[in-house]
Amino acid sequence: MAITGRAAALGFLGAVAVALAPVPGLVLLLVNFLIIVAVLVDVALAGSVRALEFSRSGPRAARLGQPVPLVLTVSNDGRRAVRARIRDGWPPSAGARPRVHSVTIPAGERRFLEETLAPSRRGDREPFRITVRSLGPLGLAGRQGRHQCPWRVRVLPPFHSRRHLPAALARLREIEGEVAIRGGGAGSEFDSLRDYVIGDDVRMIDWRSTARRGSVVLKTFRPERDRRVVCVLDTARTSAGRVGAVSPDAPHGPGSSAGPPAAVGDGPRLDHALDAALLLTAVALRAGDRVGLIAHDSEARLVMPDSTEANLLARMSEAMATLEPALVEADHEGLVSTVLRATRRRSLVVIFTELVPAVIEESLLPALPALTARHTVMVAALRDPRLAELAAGRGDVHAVYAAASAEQTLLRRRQLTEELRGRGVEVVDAPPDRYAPAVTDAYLTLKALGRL
Amino acid sequence: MTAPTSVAPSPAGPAGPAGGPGPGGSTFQRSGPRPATTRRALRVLAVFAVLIVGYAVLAAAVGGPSTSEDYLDVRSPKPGGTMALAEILRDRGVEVVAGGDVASALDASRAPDGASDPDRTVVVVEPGLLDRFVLRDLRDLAQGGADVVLVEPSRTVLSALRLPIDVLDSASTASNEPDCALPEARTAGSVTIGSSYLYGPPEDDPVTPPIDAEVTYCYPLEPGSQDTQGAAVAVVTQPGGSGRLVLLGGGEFLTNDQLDEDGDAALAFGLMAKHPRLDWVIQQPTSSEPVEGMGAVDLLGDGFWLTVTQLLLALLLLALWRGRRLGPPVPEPLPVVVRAAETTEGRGRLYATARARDLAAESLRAGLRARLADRLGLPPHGQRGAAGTVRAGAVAAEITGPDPASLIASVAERTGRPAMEIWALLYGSGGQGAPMVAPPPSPGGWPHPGPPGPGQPELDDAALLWLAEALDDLDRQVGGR
Repeated sequence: MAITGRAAALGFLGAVAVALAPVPGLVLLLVNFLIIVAVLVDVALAGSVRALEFSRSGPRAARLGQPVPLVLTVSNDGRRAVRARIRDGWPPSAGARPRVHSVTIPAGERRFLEETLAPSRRGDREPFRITVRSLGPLGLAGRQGRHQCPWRVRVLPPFHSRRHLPAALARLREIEGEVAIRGGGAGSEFDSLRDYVIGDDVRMIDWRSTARRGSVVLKTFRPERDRRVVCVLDTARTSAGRVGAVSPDAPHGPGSSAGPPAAVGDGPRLDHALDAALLLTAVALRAGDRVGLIAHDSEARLVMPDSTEANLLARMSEAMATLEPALVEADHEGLVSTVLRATRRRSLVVIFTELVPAVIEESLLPALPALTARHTVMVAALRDPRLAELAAGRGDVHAVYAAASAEQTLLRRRQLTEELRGRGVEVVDAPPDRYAPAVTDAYLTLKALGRL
Repeated sequence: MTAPTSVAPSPAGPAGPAGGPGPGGSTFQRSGPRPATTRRALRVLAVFAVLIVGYAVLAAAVGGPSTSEDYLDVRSPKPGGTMALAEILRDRGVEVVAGGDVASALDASRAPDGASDPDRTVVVVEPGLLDRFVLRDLRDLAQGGADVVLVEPSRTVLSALRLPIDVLDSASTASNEPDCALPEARTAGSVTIGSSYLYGPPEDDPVTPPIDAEVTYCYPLEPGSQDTQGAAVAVVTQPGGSGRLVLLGGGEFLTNDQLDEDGDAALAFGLMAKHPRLDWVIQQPTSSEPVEGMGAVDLLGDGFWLTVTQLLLALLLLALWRGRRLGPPVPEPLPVVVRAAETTEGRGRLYATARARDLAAESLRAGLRARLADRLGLPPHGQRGAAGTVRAGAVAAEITGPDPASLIASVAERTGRPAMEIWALLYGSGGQGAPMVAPPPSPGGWPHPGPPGPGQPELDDAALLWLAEALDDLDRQVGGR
């Protein structure tokens, strides 16, 4: 039961009537009696909310930034038409529009309500409940009830670094020798034999075949295929730190607030890591390697054994969508053992984490030898541009103190990087806008060098 | 409303929550407040209802005579009117004139020379609506020989008249026996006065001294103790005056309804039939200042209050309309959002609070040393402990970094600045009390920088700022990679 603005307006009209009436007492009683009767009649004549049936249709997953068109079907099994205001309650971050549907559903018919979600965060979005207010013929009052109609839209990571994919693939083709360039393809894996042409490296001549064929035959090589890459995401507390906005008071125009966060902008470290991992996966799959995914903080959150399926990227996006930073300390020992259990063969293990001295020195460094003994290890760290901005701060004493603090942090990172490199770990330390391509470049370099 | 050409079957699958409805399905749930809320609302309503009913009962029990429009009206035959009394008086040859204003009644009775006709009785209902000057006129009229009957005068009226009488109690039922020497009361005998004010001598001295007057109290609350308990009728005779001022604590015994009980009629008759003319005035509100303060509120009619009531009801409807949501707010678990650089900024503020200038200076230097070594292609680490330590309070941290000698040599070569100066800039003179940086070897005329002096001046904020600028300059001079 709910009344509308019309009932309130009637009440105020009644006040005017009472003020002007010769017998105000009688009019007062009459007016309120009439209002109550009208409201009761309206409620009695309103279509039943209980008799409505809801169902949904539409996509179940979408990348962040894409609108999600959904259809809410409502059918009226009751005996009376339902003049309804329907609110489909989605969480605010789902960005559902329109907020309220106004629709009349004749008895025995159904209507399709279109709504569009514009999610502002990745993860699963589920509607809370459908609230229906069925108004009576007078529009004075109505019945209100609710329905449950579950659905789930998985908002996938945006994969902003897709735009770096062509460049990375071009570099991959160079390495594989598919593009005619000086020096030919690199790599150590035997590919095929071909006739010698002047200019080829004489060291590559396969003398045995030359003797058999009578013409000079050359061995060609290509990068190894079917290597393994394991992306390891550190989802512990350090991954929650937001990185990206160069300045805390950076202008956010009205235009930027309309859509989801800009391409490579603000976001927790984990989101940047997901982006980089997706680009790496896309390139590695194209290069013929197998890719696995592990997310770990104090315990393993996600383990996807390496595979080379075509739809791996989509599956990985789906799995990544619900990863959230956990406010716990990273257990790198557990992380290493999870990796060792998941991949028996030699792999490139890319650890997306943050170079926090306390965490790395106490937890990762002791566990590292077990990992480096069997795998090639790369640590991909995101450098906060805010640190450089702070370190360049001058002008007043507080800025200089902040600069000193930032210098210290940067110095510790630098030392940590050297420490890790000293133990044979590849370290990528890049700001957000170059993070994903830097990781992929490092992978391609390792591949070209045959170190996978 | 547009209908898509195809509608997928209802969503019920792996993505739906477990226990959800089957295909095609939504489940209905009654909307509205929870039962507990409803019960609580009902309880509150019940309490309000009890309060209202209780107040109404109490008001009916305690409240004085109903102040309907006909009350004590000589033209009204209703139970509350006094038409019967007026008719009896007319039968006895008394001319009864009804009026609505004491002042105009007095004016009408006034002879052309300004003297009032003393041979009359004036009955004033609602004397509280008179202003103090008209009340004085009434008193003077009584002094002149007329009888003035005030029906239910309150304490403010009595004090405006400056009578030595006070209202001791109100709404009490006085006795039926006169218990006084007033002839009319003795003649009437037992009278049912009903609820009335009870008058008696004032217990404390009033602010304005009362006039000299003789007061006879009749119909006390309890016969025999009239002085302390108060009486329902007080008759005031002023010295030198021939008329009386009669105060009736209750006027109900005058009404058509009660006139025939006991000696009511006799008392009324005795009090009012003395003179051939009777002015019966039911005082109406006037624009002058009544002694019983009447605000604008009293001047507003019933229509106003009813309109306000209706407006309140309309506001209630408005509140009900706006207060009923179309579904509750939707909860959303939000992720933790922390700026990653916040700890660094916080540490900077801590440095500033603690004035850790040495630590800050050393951090700036160490940062630049590492960058320069990187840029000049020097190994990032010299021998361990080669560069010394920095000390802040009790905490000492070993400086690691590139080999000082080669770094300074390279920078000096690149910038053309004296090595001594670069040494001072990049390694400073060390924190006070800290072990001095090992003097670097002197390859090729390398000067040995000693500590500037035994008593090093403590670094102040200005010096820190200067150092930051100087390091920036050096950074620029060395140039890019």
